[in-house]
Amino acid sequence: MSNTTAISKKDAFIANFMKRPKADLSSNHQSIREEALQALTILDLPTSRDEYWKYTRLTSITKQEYHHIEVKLDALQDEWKVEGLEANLMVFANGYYQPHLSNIIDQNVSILTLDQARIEAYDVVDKHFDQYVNAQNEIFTALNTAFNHTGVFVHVSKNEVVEHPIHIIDVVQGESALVVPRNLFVVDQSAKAQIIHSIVSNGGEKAFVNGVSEIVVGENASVEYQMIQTIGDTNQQIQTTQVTQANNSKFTTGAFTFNGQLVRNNLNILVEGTGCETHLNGVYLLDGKMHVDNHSVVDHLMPHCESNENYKGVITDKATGVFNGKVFVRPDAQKINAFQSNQNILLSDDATINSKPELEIYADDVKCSHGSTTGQLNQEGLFYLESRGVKPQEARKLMINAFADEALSEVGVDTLKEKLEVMIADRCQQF
Amino acid sequence: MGYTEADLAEELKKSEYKYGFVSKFDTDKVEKGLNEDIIRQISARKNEPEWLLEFRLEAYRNWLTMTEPTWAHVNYEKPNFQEITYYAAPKPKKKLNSLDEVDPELKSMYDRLGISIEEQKKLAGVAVDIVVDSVSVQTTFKEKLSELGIIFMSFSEAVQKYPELVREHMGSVVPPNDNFYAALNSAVFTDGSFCYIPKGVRCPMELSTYFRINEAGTGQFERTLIVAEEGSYVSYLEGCTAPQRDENQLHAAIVEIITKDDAEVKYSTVQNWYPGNAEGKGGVYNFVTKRGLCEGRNSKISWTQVETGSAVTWKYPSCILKGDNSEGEFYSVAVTNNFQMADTGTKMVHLGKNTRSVIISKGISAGRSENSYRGLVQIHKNAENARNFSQCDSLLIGDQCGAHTFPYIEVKNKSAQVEHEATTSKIGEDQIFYCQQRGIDEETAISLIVNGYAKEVLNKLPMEFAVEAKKLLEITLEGSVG
Repeated sequence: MSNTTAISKKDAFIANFMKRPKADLSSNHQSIREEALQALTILDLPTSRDEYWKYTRLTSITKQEYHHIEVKLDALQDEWKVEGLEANLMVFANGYYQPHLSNIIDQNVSILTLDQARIEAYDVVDKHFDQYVNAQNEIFTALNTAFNHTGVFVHVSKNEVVEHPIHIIDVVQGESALVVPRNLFVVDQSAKAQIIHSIVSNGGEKAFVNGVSEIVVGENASVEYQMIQTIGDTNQQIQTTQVTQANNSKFTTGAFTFNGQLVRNNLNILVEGTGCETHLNGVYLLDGKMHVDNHSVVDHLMPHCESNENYKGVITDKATGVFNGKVFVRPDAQKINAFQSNQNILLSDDATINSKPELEIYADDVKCSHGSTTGQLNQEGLFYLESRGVKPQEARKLMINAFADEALSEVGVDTLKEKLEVMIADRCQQF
Repeated sequence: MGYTEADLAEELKKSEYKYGFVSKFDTDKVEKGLNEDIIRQISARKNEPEWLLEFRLEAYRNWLTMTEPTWAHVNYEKPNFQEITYYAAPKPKKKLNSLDEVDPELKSMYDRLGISIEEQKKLAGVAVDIVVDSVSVQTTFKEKLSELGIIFMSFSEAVQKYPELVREHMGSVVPPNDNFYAALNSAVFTDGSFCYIPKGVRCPMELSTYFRINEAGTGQFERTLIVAEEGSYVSYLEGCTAPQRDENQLHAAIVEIITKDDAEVKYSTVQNWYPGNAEGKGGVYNFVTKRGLCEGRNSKISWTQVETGSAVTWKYPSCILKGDNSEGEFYSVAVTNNFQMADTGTKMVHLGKNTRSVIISKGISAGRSENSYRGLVQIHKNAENARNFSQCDSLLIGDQCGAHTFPYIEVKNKSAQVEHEATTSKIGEDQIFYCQQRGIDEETAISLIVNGYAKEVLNKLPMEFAVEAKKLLEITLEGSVG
């Protein structure tokens, strides 16, 4: 009985994705799509009984009906851009490419839409597309693989450095839009790239963004990928980012979540090389009934690596924050230094935090640790500020601001860092 | 060359279970298997009242609808529940009045364990309730305790003598349908201990029970119920050693503790069930539900455990902090070696105001074992000013073992302060080096470090017990400690 209703619920949900006509693909990519479609017949919508989704209920996403809304944006709003930053700009609205607003400055790198790349950079796409994500076991990844149309493709060849950061702006607009962006970033040996990914709302309501990004970090390469989520109060997002790192590479990422009804970030980093460095950061500032869930996996397969994870959350009203960080150290991956930290401040009695920092260690010569704290603002700090004549309300905001700012230390683009500082300060005004 | 970690790992592999011997008792068994008839038989043999039979049957019916949990980070062959004998009692020979009358074989068994009853009796007045294969054989110090109104007897005796008291509290902390193994225990439990501390009484001695699994192919399903009335205090010790067997034995116990206003219960366990041999053959499955309810204001429950045995452990001594200002503590050392698997930890459920909890967990894994900490700290909406501190450290000896940490932290109150930290590392080479340059050889240094690492927990054990705990730690990690 319950089984049949579950299936029909799933089918109804998948039907939303099918509304948009399929793009024509080369036979290789067509077969990947078909495999994903096949997987969808078996995979079920997760429930809170699934450990992986224990604290996040998806009914608010799955019960709705969605549409594919093609839009042409007139202009970019200033707040979407990073002030003072000259960037390679790629703009999409509801998943549709906006060439008139996009602008590529650096010519030593190929920055294309994924469907362009399927033709112009066929070999690279063919080698890497869908090779890292798990479309066979994860329903939202399978949906993306089966139904995505386009996204951003970046290929930085050996020894090249992308001088200007690549800024991707995903705009969500209209009512109940379904957005399925798929990105692929390939950074070859000894190359370097900085990528900023903004997901913004242009008056969008009840939209659902089901995004997947694959990032390939080559040997000795350095990649920074920062994600800013200002998706809008009624919009929802499930974003899966799959990273693989080769020898001596460096990968830095951040997830900065400012709003959204439900935001789930799945960040999986496979450290396949030795001598790698990995930094993960996150800030989530939640009020109202927001629900933000950050899931991360750092999987150390090889020795002599270092990973550092730092997530900070401020939660008020009836909002819920979820953190689940997992560090694997596989057998023989010796000399791993892994650190994980999740700190939260609760400001109201209806706010909830569910924190689950996990370590799974199969090698002995390692130094792994994690910490998780939940509490209030430091009373002594507040008192100190007040004793200096700062009003209690102001002192509170200052303290929240300072708490959240700590997660910005790894942001390498100065203008972006400044923008995030301002965004955090503005957001703190609302607490 | 000196003593290296590789040598240590090699020696750890070889150290066999020292307490593996079989005592030859005449045993009175029911036929193996599980069905309502068997349960009725067990109940009838124990001459139980009707309500208890009903309790068992209801639990059994619940159990039939449940499935074995698979979420723990352990891997084992599922027990065949129809192959287990659910009732085995040594045949009563005659009533015993003094220690001299204790079965000589039983006595020698305890002598070989180094915990002879005489010694125990003398040593700071420990009363021992010896349980062999689910039936309490002898209870000492009973008179002394009864003067204070303390009831400390086997569970089946309590059912006969204090049925109302048992009925009122049994299943109130661990309901019979709580989980798969709790339901199984509720259906087939054979004996255990019952302890009742009346209002305002401070129990003058440590209460202690030694459990032994003796008969081959018998599962042991014991049940402990401790009720501490207002303002009372008791320190309760539970120790387990099991003889060597090749087939896996199932141990599914329930421990329930209830503390009323201002009461305090300290529950200490040294667990040394047979862990299986160096090839991972045999060993005890230890699937235990232990839970304490701090019902009254200012009450306190403290769990201390030293886990060195069992092939598979699945155990989460928990505290439900219901009363305002109540306090829960969990101190644990879990050592796994060879092919042992342990998934253990605690749950601290904060319901009342100003409730506090502390979790200190030290895992040591060696050989090819898997050692996981899994803990839950839950602060409910009305738990104002709740406070939790957790520290879960893991020590790895050898490169084929695993150490894992799975903490769950759920906070729904802004005034809560919850801290969790965990570290995983091997014995620091700098620490060994430091000891060596002070003239301490490597072997002693390793033992020193391991002992120091576990000290925080061992210190929480009552004096008499700490001696044995250290002994067990040494045996489990033999080679590193002399």
